[in-house]
Amino acid sequence: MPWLNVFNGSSASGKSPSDRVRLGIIGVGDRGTALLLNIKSIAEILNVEVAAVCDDYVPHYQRAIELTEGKAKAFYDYRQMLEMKDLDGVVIATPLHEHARMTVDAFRSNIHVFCEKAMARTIKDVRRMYETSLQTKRILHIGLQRMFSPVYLEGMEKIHRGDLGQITQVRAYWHRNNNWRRPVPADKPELEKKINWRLYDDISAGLLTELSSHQIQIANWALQSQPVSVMGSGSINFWKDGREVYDNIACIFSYADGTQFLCDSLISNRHHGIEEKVLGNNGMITLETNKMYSEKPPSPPAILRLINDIEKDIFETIPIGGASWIPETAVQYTGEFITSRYRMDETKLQMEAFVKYIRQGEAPKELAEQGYHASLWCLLAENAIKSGKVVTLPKGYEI
Amino acid sequence: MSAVYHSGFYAMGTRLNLLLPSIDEEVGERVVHSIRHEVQRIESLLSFFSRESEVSMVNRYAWREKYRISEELFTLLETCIEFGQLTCGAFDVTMRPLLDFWKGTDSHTVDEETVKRLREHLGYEKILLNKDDLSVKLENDVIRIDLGGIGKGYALEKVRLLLSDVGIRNAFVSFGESSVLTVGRHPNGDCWKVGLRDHRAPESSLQMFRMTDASLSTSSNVLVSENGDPKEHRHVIDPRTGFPILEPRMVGVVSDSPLQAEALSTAFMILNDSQIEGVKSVAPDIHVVKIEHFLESPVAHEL
Repeated sequence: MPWLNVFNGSSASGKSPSDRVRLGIIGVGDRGTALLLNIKSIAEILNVEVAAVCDDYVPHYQRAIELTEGKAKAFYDYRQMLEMKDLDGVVIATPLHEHARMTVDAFRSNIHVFCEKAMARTIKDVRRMYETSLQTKRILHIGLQRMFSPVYLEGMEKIHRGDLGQITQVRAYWHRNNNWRRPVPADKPELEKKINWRLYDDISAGLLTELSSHQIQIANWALQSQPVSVMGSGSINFWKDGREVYDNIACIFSYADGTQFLCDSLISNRHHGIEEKVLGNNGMITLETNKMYSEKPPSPPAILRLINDIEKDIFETIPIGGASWIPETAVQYTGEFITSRYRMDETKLQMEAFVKYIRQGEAPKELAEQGYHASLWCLLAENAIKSGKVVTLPKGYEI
Repeated sequence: MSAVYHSGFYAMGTRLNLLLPSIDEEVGERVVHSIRHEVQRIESLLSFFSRESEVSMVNRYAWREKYRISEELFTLLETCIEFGQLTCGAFDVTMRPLLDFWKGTDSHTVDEETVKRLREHLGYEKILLNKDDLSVKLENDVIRIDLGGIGKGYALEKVRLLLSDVGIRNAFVSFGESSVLTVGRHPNGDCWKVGLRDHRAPESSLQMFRMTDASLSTSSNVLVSENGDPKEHRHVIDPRTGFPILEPRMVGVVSDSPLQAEALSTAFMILNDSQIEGVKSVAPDIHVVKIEHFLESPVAHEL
């Protein structure tokens, strides 16, 4: 994967303060806090520091100051933060509809951006972020969580080198069973929309932008392509509590080679949990569970030898016996692991990569492209659901 | 350079591999598809582990009152009972509870009385078949029918029929590497030469069989991994005593019938040489090889 080159070779992170990568964090809510803590955990090794924090919600603003032991400059307004002279990059973890202007403003201030997925609330904004990144030659790193996960990287390597044969379908689901609400202080009901922004149509596309966007990137990654069309359905069929975004969606993305990607999400049953399955004529990979299931079992040595003999016109005795089957246990084929390098710290790997890109001064173009396509297509899926039509890529959105 | 079609799939807790010399991909795919379908059908009929299999239904309900079963299962149970009689009880499909008992226990502290009591409840003769209404009744609620010792052989019988139906003249089928079905001959020979692997030198064989349209089944109480290392001791219960066979041993039986090969290889793990000769006198076309001292100094002798 091109975006991985950053982990190769020496990281050349000098120890001196002048070499230090200085980051600002915009939005220190749940996600912003997680990102901040991850940066702190690599601060020493990678010579990076959280130099500034910003949140316009007082409790988060104060928490950010505490988390940085008062060493980071704190702001209520991100524009003031962007005026800081020595900021190398910002990490944006604000509600979706704010991503675009913050990102574009950062680029115009010559600052690199790590922005949480999805990119923006509208495809126009998605395009604007992407183009501004190209114009200003600043890094646009979208926080699609699986891109640096060892399981996904090794799984994709197997998929791309043909271990599954021809890829014939991708399917993904993300199921939870909760109302997806965050608590709003009882004395401040006016904060509802600020805190539960994921539930409001003008701020978020709900499940599509907040959950499915990850999986759309994974499907694109597996298929090494982007969709050509999408159709979908969605509704609020369970959490009828005044929310504006769907609590269940189901989409089909079609790719140029005829492959379909089935993607659904709901928050009223968690039995199936989360999974992405890549299906080929020779096998299937389930990425979330780190498993590979081949349709054709690996051949035992005796069979391999016999095939070899026949192909080479050799007539020899084939030694068999020594049952490897244990008939008295319930043996079921439960697949093989993709990799033993199972790491759960994807967020940290993302932050490591961002810091290293900044130090290099650039990132491979595929990094921004993956974010662009995943974000674009989850909004086109929303469009398909709302219009009931099959949606294709609008003109001017090709890259 | 000769072409050979090869495919495989998982079934019955193991893998089935199929080699069809001089058969092209398209025909091969079609053949393996129908074989897979058939083997999976048999598995869903006979599986001890699937709650919904017909055998599981029998195990759940047939001790209370007689239970009607399919003609296919009925015939197979009849065959199992016949093998029980032929081998003086050395082949017995009701021993599962004893196997579970031994698996869950430390052999040194076994209470002989418990084994004896459990054994008294088991035995193929306690499966009562009624041909008039195709029903089965189990004499008590301890017995469990487990066709694991014959399932692959039965499936290979069906594979053999399928191959002959579609006009395949030469084939080599390995089911779990312990049961082999051969049809016709190797492209460069007049038969298929199949050996019993010497685990000390996994590339060589202790005994070789020349097979045409025949099946080889092997049984052992030691599992050997692909590189030849002994993996674990496997319990093989002597149905006559209820105790496991401890001496590391392997038996190979070649027969025209895969079902017969599999049932007899299981039974011959338990019977002594003269008892095996006795069985051979009624089934003269089989070849039997027994390997004693399987782990340290395996020596094959043909019976």
